[in-house]
Amino acid sequence: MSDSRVEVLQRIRGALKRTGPAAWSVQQSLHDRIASHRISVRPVYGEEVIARFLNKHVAVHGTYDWVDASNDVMAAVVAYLDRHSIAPKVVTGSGSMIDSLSWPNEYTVERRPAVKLDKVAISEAFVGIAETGTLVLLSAPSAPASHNYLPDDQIVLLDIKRVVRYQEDVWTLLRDELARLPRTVSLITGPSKTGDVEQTIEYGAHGPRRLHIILVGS
Amino acid sequence: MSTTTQTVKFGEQVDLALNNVSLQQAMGRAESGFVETRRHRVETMPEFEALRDTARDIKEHTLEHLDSYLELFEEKVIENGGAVHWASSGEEACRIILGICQQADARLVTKGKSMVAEEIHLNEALEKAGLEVVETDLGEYIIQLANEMPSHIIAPAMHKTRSQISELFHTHHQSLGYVDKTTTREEIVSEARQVLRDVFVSADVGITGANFLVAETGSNVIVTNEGNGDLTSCLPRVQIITAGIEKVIPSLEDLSVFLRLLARSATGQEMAAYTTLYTGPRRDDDPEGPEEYHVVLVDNGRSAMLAGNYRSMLRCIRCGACLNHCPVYTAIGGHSYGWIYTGPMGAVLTPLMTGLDNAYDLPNACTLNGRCQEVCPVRIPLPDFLRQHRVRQNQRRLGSGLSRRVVSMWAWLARRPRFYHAVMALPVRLLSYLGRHRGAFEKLPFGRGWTVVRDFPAPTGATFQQQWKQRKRSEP
Repeated sequence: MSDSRVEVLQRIRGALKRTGPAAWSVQQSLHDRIASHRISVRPVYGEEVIARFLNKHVAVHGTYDWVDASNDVMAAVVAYLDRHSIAPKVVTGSGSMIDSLSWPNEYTVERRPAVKLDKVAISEAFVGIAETGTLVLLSAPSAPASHNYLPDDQIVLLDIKRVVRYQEDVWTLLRDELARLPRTVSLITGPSKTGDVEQTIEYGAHGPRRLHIILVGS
Repeated sequence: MSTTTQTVKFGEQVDLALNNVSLQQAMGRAESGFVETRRHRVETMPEFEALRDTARDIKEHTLEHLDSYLELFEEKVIENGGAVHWASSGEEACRIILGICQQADARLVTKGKSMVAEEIHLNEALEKAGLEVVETDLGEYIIQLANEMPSHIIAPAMHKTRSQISELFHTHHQSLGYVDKTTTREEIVSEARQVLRDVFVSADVGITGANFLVAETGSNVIVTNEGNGDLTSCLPRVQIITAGIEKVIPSLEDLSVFLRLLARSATGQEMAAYTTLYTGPRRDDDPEGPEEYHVVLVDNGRSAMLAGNYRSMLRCIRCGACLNHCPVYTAIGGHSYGWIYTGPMGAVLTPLMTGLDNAYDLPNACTLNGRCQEVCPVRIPLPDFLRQHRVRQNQRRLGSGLSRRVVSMWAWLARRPRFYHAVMALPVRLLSYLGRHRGAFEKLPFGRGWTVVRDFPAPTGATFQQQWKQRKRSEP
């Protein structure tokens, strides 16, 4: 351990009128506080979660299709690419919905991290947060985080059963469903934007210019 | 402590700023933009005040146990395969970061916006050692090209007009093949996107700040709208996070409280476009991501703040709301403050970090109207701190002898109310008599600062106190 670690900790303890680490009972109370997962103030809202999620997503310049079943996802993807005149070449990962897609013959589908020239990525969300219209994407060997940030367009598949009411619900699901926090947990609310030129919003600063959700289920 | 003190006098900077037409236009836009959108968000969220109380309490709790939470955070980072470095001073932080870069044989470094990196002059230190450092937040990139300091915490280039940015890009991007000058906002943003894309994918090291460090998980959290911080964190071989020691918070649930406050206070958004939790380097089976993950915890004067009266300044989450709502800041812009921290929070922090005598004017250039405290998401008593600075400056006999003599005379007078009112009534009567025909003065002795831009209205004869008494008497 470096001298500076000792020095900084000593200065902090001095400032807190202590000479050494906090008493064991105090440290235990801090562990307990963390482990309690205590939720404090949340904005109360009465709206139904799906309506709220989609409204909030649209309010931050996102777009969406809502399909009844996973069989309909492929058509929605093809229609989106056609609508924006994007060549049928996508980068994607793996997941229950992505794996069940039957790609048309003319499509080039590559499962790898994104590179500079990739135009469109297709991802699967862990959940959506209705509170703010936020998508949560987790990195994994089959879901590189670069898909969220490098391509011009990102299409995110979201199971309707996976829309939660509040941000804290995400932390609970992560603890319940995963053995370990993934390296990257991305909370994405709308496409990339900047206000750095004349304090006026322009979309597509560095991340995706457009963010499209395909909500699956009824 | 590594700092730059003001090179040009504050008063001169202010004069320049007030007469700078393009700056005045830019500041006007900020006032209407940030302030209005924040107001709308706050009005539509009844829980906002309760959130502020909660955030204040979480920060106070964390600061009271800062050593324990930092050790918890460190333990988790190491458990996740990352490394934590402790830096006592800015110079030491720079040495540590340079060491990591050299160890990795780095040549090109991308940076996400980091106020701590600005504070410790990281770019200079890395460039001096021969590294190429590229800022990737559009605002930071613009001021890097212009070789200037940020003028706002979250909108570093807000003082730049579109045509100035257009000129800068034209000068610097021609060699990259962008021969035509871009002029529209869309073209400018698109050009920066293309130019920086090449930088992102070839960088060896990515350095960002941290909006929060979560002790529970050992994660660093960054919040951006552009996505530049994420490209900086995801693509290079080595990821470095610089963070002040006050950035740690206990749990993910605590994080949610701050995320609800941060974007609303900063830009009036409910959530910024990108909020990302990074936890350690790439995992064994990951096909991408950095092989090394380093967090550099920077003290640089913070533990001293923890000890004294200014502890609650360490609650600051760098949202910029106090800047946007400060009439002095919005009139003179960030550069007048002479350092990277500007506006009310800068006027408190700069004297604490660079010395009271190095930043004499900052605490005094405040009207004490209190708007900063009204909007601060963690309820920092900024006006009280500025008043404390003034008291300490006076105790240490800083400032001009004349100003201190005038203040002492006024204090002597103000403690004798009858005498005070009698003395104050004299000039009022005199000015009332002299101005009885025109009703206003174009010139006044000692009043040129006022009359140069507007007339001084002549008083009507009685002081406020006299009129007040008269009215009281005439009331039935």
